[in-house]
Amino acid sequence: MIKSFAALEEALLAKGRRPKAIKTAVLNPTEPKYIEAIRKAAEKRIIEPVLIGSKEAINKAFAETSSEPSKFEIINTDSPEQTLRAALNCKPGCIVKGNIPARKFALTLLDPVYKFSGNGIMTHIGVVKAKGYKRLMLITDGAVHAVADASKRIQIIQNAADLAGRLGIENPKAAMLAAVEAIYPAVPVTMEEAAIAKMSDRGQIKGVEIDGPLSFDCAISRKVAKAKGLANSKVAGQVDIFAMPSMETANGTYKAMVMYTGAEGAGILHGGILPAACPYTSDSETNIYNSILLAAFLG
Amino acid sequence: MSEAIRSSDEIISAAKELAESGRRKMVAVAGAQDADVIGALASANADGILDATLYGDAKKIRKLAKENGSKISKLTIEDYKDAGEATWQAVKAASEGRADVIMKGFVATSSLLKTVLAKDFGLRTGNIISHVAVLDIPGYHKLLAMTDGGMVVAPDRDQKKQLIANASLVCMALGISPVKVALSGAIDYVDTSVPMSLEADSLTKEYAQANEPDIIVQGPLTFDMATSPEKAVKIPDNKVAGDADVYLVSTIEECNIIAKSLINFSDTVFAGVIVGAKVPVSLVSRTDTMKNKKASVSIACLLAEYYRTIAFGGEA
Repeated sequence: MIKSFAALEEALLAKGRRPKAIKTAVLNPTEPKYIEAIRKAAEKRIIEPVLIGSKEAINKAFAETSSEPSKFEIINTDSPEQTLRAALNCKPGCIVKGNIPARKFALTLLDPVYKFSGNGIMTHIGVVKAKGYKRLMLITDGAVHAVADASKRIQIIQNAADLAGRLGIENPKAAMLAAVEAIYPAVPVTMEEAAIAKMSDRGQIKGVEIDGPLSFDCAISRKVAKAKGLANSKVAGQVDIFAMPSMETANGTYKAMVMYTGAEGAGILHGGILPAACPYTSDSETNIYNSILLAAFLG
Repeated sequence: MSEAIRSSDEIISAAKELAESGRRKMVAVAGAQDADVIGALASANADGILDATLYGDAKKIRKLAKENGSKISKLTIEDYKDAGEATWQAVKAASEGRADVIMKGFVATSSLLKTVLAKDFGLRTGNIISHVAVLDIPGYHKLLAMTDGGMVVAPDRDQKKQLIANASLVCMALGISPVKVALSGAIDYVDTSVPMSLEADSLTKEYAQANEPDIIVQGPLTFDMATSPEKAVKIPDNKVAGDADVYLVSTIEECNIIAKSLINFSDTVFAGVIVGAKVPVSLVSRTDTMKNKKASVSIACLLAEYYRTIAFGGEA
């Protein structure tokens, strides 16, 4: 079971696991932090990158680093469509988003002409390793689904549970977050979450244990949950999946965590025909590298 | 006030300076048989920040104070066994100018606010009642007021304007001018498939046209764009990006969850206050640290001073 980004890297570097570096199409790596993260992953033979986008902008980013563009395969393109087509034509094992807003990138991939999204749902999952929390936090969905009804929320949770499974997390646990753990008819989010939790209790949702509504405090602490009368929750205090009530909440919480709490993070679009590393544009070089690790691991 | 207050320590010391200047505030507690409230007020009183009158069950108040080692000899107790009566008396004291801040004790927030808004007391402002959490986040160069994570579940467009007004009052009481308000988003641009981005854009335009130089509103802005000066260089013309005083979110959940992620995983200190009546309403919770509690009552005192002298007063 992968509990940290260090463990993820270790798994990728383990002898015999992967005889060859995974072919990786990198879209628009036009800032130095992308170049550095890619170089690091390439040097460790985790990925074999092909850089795609405006060659001029990519070279400009290289100029601000100590890396040599001549050591990389670069394909020059001049529109988002061309870039994506070129990326998919490489027959990569995974793709990596560069300097494009996460939502724009996701919406381009969802365009049916690329046949990228497959038959299921594609969601954005922010993976956070927080100081003081034993598990990886899968925060979702902060970029793709702007408006999610109950059935979409269930799909978002199931997609995150699928990712959790691939990370070796057995019986993943999902909390549906709200401002409070009490259920109030006047607060629609709590009613919807309670109903989904009831579906989970009755075995209607397979592969993941779901509880909600849970406040953030209860989700991360069994002690707080007990004090609030939730001693019977099978989820509180051991949450893997933080299913947020809105896209803005997932996005803001991920960013608060990585900007101000010293947490490491990674972003991934999960559910397409290929894993797509999707850090937010403000993510650090470390978090971009972590996102690449995650995509390579899944690829 | 000349310089803007930038940290929770400065909030507490400003309230103390206010008290030392002869304008010490009186806090009226509704249903004071609450160990956390007694402890916070006893400590704030010992620090010279405020005076307090405890409306509630005197016997229980003394017992709780004793059990928790809170020194309440300098606080006034008004004995009312019935919680409704204690609440009524505390609010009455504020409405008659005998108290500057109303504090929630062992009573439900909803019943306290119902009393505060009762017509008899004349404490309504016409604005919505909302909760403002002022966060002192290590790593951010100023205070960040987030709203609303406690009262207004899903504000509509008009309610958002009232939330902006309420949060701006708190910032102005902290000496912040102009107040920079970021409207939250998961994206920094307008996308017709994201309803919140359309509303944020329309509010931004409305405030840009309104002649209100003290409040600058911009959105949608992601949390990082609102609070990271490094990221904000990408949109240099945006006066709020990277320097927000207020992060106005779209739902109670969004505010509550983002604030709690910061409070639980960093040394963020927060001060909360209920705004929208003519008297600030202070509340602390059991899980707050003593510093949170002190910052909360301090901000209520500063707000009360601002209300008296500028916002609703002129009695200065």
